[in-house]
Amino acid sequence: MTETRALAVAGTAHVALVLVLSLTWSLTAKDLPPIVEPIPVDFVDISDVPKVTAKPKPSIAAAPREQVEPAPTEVEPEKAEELPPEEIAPKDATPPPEPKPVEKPKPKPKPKPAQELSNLVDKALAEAPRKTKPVDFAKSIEQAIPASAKLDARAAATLAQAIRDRIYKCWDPNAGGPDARSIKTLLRVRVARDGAIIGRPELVGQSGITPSNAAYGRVARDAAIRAVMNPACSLAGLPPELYEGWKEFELNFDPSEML
Amino acid sequence: MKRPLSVLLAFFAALIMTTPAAAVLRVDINAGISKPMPIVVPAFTTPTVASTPAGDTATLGRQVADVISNDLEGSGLFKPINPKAFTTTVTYMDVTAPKFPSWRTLAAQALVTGFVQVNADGSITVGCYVYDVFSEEILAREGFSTQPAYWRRAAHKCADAVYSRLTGEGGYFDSRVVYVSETGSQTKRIKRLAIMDQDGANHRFLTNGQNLVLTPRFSPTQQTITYMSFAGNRPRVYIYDIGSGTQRLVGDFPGMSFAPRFSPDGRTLVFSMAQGGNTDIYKMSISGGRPQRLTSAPGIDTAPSFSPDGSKITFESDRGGSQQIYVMNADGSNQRRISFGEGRHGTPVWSPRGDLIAYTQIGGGKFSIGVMRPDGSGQRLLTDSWADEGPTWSPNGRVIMFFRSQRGGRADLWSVDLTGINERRVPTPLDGSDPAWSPLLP
Repeated sequence: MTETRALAVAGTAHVALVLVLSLTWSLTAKDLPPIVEPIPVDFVDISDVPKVTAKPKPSIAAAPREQVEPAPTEVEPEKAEELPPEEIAPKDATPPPEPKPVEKPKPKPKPKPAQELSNLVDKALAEAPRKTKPVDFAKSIEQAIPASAKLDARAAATLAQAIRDRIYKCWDPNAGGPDARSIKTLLRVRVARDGAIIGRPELVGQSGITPSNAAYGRVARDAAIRAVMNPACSLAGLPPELYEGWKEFELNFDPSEML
Repeated sequence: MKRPLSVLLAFFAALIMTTPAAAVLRVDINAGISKPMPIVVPAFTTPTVASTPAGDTATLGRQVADVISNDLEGSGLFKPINPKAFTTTVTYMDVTAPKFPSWRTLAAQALVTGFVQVNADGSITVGCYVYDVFSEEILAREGFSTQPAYWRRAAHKCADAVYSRLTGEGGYFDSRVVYVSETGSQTKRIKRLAIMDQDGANHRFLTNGQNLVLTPRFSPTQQTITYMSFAGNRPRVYIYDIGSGTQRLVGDFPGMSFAPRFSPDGRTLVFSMAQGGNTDIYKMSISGGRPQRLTSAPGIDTAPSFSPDGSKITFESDRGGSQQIYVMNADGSNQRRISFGEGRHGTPVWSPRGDLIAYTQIGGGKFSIGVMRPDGSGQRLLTDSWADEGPTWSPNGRVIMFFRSQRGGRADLWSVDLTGINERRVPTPLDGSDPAWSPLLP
């Protein structure tokens, strides 16, 4: 019972705080403290009394200093601490092999040492683990996409590359320089059929923030959002037949490989 | 005790379950294009046009926007859109509800807008608002009150707020520079101490040029400057009070004293003193007392500069046969050489961030400005000219000012950022050398 009440009190207090903050838009100005104005002097020997050639400047009346209300800072969600390192689509646009029905490779006679090299290669290929990997990979993509999308691995890779080509030109990852190079920002973006961004990209999470680069976290988030929102990098013209695949996607901004 | 935990766990479980599994395409963006951010700074508006000793508020509004624009452009990180490129004017109501679509058509990514108003006591308030043009989000909002005569400071403060919010760095625009102004022929050079705002405005001479002055350095408190003067034909260290115009000798030593610099708390001076054919580094309280000798190696030890935490001092010495950079503890212990690159290295200055030491590299018939880490690693040159020397750091440790000499003897002030790309001349009415950047003004 007490917990419920405590929760209710805390909830009400938070709502009240948000309301108060959103209503106090009026500006409180900070008084610039007076600084010493330079006064030119004639250079004199140190034994002489220094000669002041101008009267001291009148000081600005010290008024009570008000703190400027801090700009609302968004609390970054704690979840999604580590961005998964691998991406769903392979980095290069080369289409992965078409998924083949998984069939058990027939047991084959062991290659004899005297066998021709070409035969050897053929056999090795048939049994290499590489054969099953693309199948699993493609399956995972298929599972990841709603059934209606019919987005196979090749389409997903093509789509990812198309989106990447649009966005990267508007991303300025330079903020913070080397100190901020480890900060990765993951956004979730929702897009209308005409390529317009719906609402604002949602910050899923950031990783790589250390005490020494914490000041750059917000800047990195802003730079990522700006890249998505920039009309110069509009998503208009992505393949309409694959809309199910790009109506919502995630962008992982990673400056670690930048020079 | 157990129940709240289970409630919490249930909450997180619900959170995880409502988060859709990795069902969406994820696209890695690991390349981008860095270029100055297009930003628009329209003339600041005013609720009612009122006159002030520094001009009417509408004129001040235009001037404030110009100063902000100039500051941001000078950093090399922003590209202010030319005011001639748009006709949109800002009304007082627009300050809190900007017309974003018209700024988007200019391809501006950020908007700096605001107002200038006169207060009942005759002071002015400059309101400063920063918006993201695409997301239409307010990024920063600050107001500054000051006497009308100091409107430039309010503009610099606004520019610092913009810079700081958009880059994550501290600002540096509301700061000043003291330097040696030079004029006259090579043989009859007149050198005067001069002070100006970081952007060259409010230029003033501090001394009349009767005596040669060198190496002015700001105190962290901004009220005083220490420098070396040849007054009375004896090169010695002085402290100059900016507000009163008084100056005093730091200790009356028999030998010459030079290359002074304040400790980070402003209470101690380090400097060089030549005695008996040997030049060593000394430390002394600015209120007087006996100087403490920190080095004793044969040769010239000079150009001391404290680390920002006050625990270490970097300096140059020729004890090893050539001019090189050393680091020691503030009490003189643990002296070790850190510069091992090609050529000679001098005038080390510790960055206010503590992460780098700027220096002058001498070699191949050239003087260049470089930076290295305090352990001597990561040495790199930022400038490539004939004679660049005497680095000084901006308060945020991102920009270095220095002076560049021409073969004919002329010299002027330049600044360069840590990328080495954004190199700019600092305007001075005459020639200039030996700049020293102040800390950020309060």
